[in-house]
Amino acid sequence: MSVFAKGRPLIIGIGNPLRSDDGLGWAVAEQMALDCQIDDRECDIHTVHQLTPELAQVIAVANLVVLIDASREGEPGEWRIRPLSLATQPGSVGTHHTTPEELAALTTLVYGQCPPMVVVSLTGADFRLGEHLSARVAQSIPLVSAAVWQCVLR
Amino acid sequence: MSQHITIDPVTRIEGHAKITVQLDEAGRVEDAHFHVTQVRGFEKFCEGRPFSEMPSLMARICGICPVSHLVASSKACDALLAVSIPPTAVKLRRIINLAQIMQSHALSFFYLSAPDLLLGMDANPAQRNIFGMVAEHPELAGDGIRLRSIGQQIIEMLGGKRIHPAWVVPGGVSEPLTAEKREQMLAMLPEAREITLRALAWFKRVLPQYQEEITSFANFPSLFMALVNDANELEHYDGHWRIVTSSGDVVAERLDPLHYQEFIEEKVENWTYLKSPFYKPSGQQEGMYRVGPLARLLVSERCGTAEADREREEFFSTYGEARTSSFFYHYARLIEILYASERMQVLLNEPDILNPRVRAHAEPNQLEGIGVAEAPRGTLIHHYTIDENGLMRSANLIIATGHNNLAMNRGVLQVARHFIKDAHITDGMLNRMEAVIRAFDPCLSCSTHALGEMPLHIQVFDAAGVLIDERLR
Repeated sequence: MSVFAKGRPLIIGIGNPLRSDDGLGWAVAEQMALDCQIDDRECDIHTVHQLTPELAQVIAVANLVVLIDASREGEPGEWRIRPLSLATQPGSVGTHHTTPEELAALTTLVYGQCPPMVVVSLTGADFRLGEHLSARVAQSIPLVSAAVWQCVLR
Repeated sequence: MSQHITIDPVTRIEGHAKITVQLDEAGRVEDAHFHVTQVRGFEKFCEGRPFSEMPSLMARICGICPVSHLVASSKACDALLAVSIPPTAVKLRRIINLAQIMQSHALSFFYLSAPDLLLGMDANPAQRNIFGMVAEHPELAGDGIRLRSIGQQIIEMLGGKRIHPAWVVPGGVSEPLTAEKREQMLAMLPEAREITLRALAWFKRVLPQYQEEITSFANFPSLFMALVNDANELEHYDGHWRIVTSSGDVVAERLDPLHYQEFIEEKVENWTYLKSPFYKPSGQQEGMYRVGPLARLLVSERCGTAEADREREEFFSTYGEARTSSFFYHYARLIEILYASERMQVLLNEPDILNPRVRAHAEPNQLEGIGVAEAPRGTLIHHYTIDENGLMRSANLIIATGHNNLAMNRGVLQVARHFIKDAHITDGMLNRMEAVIRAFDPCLSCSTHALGEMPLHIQVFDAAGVLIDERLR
């Protein structure tokens, strides 16, 4: 159970850890949780299968949100950091599919504020049923975690 | 020239389905069907698996109500073990089941149905969603998010995670409750009650605008079935079935859910993957019954908690005989959330709730086990048989939405006949066709996901099968 403190960074690892590389968001989040224990860093960390409207209430009290998700675009192991445009017009929020932009818009509408949000995506190689990351993606996890820490600690 | 209207998929429900309407040559509605177009195969692919895996496997049926399957499946496994589980484990299972009802009802009411209720059935579909709702009533949207979150947090505190927790196990639960978690849960419940009472106050204010929907949304005589306790109060975990008519006459009571095959027949249709159960002694026509929150309120004589009973009494006295309209599933959902928050508070204050003895250990002692509980959408049945090695021979599941299948189909027909006067299609009419289904909050196995938006697709065919009108949104 995560306890959310006001004004702290929020890390959200997204994906399905039973779908091989789709679980990389969880792997990065778990790596960062481990880093927090070792270095006593202050950060709220969440792992989710998908974005849902309830996340708006914890996003609203964070000072920065980093969403980490797997991507099919690009070469396996390739990763990208994309600041979210908070000006994006929302579509309809569903119970099964909410985009980062929709979640940011919902947060702003309901709570009157939304912190800066960043989407970190890492290209996966294997999305078949399985509990392990592919070797190429597993190698990238420490690198991506370090990059996310740079965003958070900047 | 007869025509055929198809609504595919039905939106803002859990799962995938379509509605078809057959018009006659004069443009009047001749027939209508609610088709469930996905097949899952859970009953089949679990054959040969160790029975102890069943709770975790069955929880994967649904991402919205996994706890309900976990509870019913574990109860079926308790029966295979032939154990009586520790009383504290029963209370803890009750709490997680009630938290599940709270979060699932909150999702149904605030996220899926409130946009219709707040913005109107004829509002622009592009605005009839949670964003349109926020623009119109930000406090209500915030309340919905918070209420669902409270239910999910309680599930996470007990089960370790919000979706697919593995804490409910054959023989009890895997870990006792800690004092710290109990205090955290107790601290959230007053807020849940306040939110629910605010939503109830709002809903009661807007209800008079929906007289036509109250009249036409699956508003017909049927049976209602639910579990009740020995005092005929609401019961979500144990107890016995009671069946009443729309006028409140008791058709059957003290039915043992373990003998469900004696009084429930499961009919199969060739146009849907959803089974159509009915009450066997009354036959298919007269034996159509409804389950879920409205049925639970109608079947029981009282809720058993103070505030929920006050709201139930007000609902019954205000709407009298009209209370059996399926439009009132929304009302019943709010009353049941209130009940859940009150009941969880009582359970969390039980003197033995922190007792560390929460699991009975045994090997299989019986080859057949049945588990029944009330899920958010109604009675849920898991029935397993195993071989001497504890491997699954068969599984039969009757899901709440299945119990409501006959009534949902009749409801679609009623709405279609009420609102379609000729072959002309309006968005408001289509939305009402979906909204009557949404009132039942069917869960058509949520783990079969659609990618991206789910468009509403309507096609009108003439008698020769030629497409003469089509709409996409």
